Amino acid sequence: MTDPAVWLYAVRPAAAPAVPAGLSGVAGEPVRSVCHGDLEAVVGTLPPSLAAQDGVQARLADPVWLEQAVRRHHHVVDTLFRAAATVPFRLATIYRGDDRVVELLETRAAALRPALETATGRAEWGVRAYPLPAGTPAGPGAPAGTPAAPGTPADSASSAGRGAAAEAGAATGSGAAAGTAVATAPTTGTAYLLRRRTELAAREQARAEAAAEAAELEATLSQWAVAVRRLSTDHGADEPVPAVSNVSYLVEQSRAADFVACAHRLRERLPRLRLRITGPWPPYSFVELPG
Amino acid sequence: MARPARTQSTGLPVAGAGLGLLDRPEPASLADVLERVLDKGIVIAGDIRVDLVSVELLTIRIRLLIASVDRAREMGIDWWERDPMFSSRARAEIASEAVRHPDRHREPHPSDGHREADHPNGHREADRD
Repeated sequence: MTDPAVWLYAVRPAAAPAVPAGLSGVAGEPVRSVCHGDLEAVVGTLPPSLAAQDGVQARLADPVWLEQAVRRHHHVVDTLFRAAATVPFRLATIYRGDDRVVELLETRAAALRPALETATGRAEWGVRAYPLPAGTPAGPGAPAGTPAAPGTPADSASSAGRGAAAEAGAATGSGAAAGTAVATAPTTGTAYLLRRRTELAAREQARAEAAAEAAELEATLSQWAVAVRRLSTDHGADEPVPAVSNVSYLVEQSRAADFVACAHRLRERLPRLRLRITGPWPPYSFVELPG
Repeated sequence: MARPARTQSTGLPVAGAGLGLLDRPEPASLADVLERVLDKGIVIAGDIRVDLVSVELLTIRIRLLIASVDRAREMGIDWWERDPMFSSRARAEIASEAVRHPDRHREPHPSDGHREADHPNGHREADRD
């Protein structure tokens, strides 16, 4: 028989309100508390199928189980966070029994207490900023003659086609065409390239403007935060464009409303950005250990 | 009554009782949750080694899957929601139709006495170890 596997969700002060009855964990198991001194670990005992050495690892390879585990782990942490200061543990932190959890509370107390202090009375807020497509708001300085449709792939495909068709019919007056083509549809290869260059320059400028606005966004929001963490802006294929800013802010509970109000005002003040504000989160991004 | 308390135009959250009870400005997506739950939280090695690097690769696949499902739904391609292979709702609809037209959906049923003989060990889900 294998030793029991105890999944650790979070650590709280021992004085925190009791873990809500009926709260269940990643495997549907009841969630309970293990106390030692002034610290409490919130844990759940995994079923025997998961207690085996590679049980959890094997299940984590199943996207359906993983998604469910992530949601449930978060649900437990989030529920605790709404009642008291909570230090979330990384997914799949597992100990061989309650004794080992008590040992952890004892040996790592010096690291856990400051983490709890960081978490007390504070929440994490996420603000992600995406650049709006070039040319969309048509500001006063926007270059003329480039409608820059939002559907970029289709747009470039059709203009390439147009360019090729135009070249076939414009062998005669190419020199004259180059001067006027920029304002209208391209009629020669040269004009096409010119138009392309204008487009790319516009896109580059939009990107630079968005970056400048992102810097302003971060500087303004940071004033409300006690700590700031940059998260990855490289976010894979589920987003149409990569974010220019993806930052988590640790905000005092008493200032949370001001922080969110400020973020909403920035939405209007920064026309090049689309903002996505999420929170309040348990302080996941602010509890790393020193060193 | 059902409307949550919010200040009129700004959509500002109002503090509720206890910690963190603010209206969420935007619903957190699975990607938001994954970003924090998988990558963050205090890291103290437990007794069982779990390799989360390969898990993080897996999440990329999940994100892709979510994105493609959302995009398909936007485009109105939601056939699987009506396909009994993929959707329990569709299965429920078929079941209720079967009740209305029992002769059209003739399926083996425990009350068909003789069928019992085909499955001598009734509960199949029991472990075979």
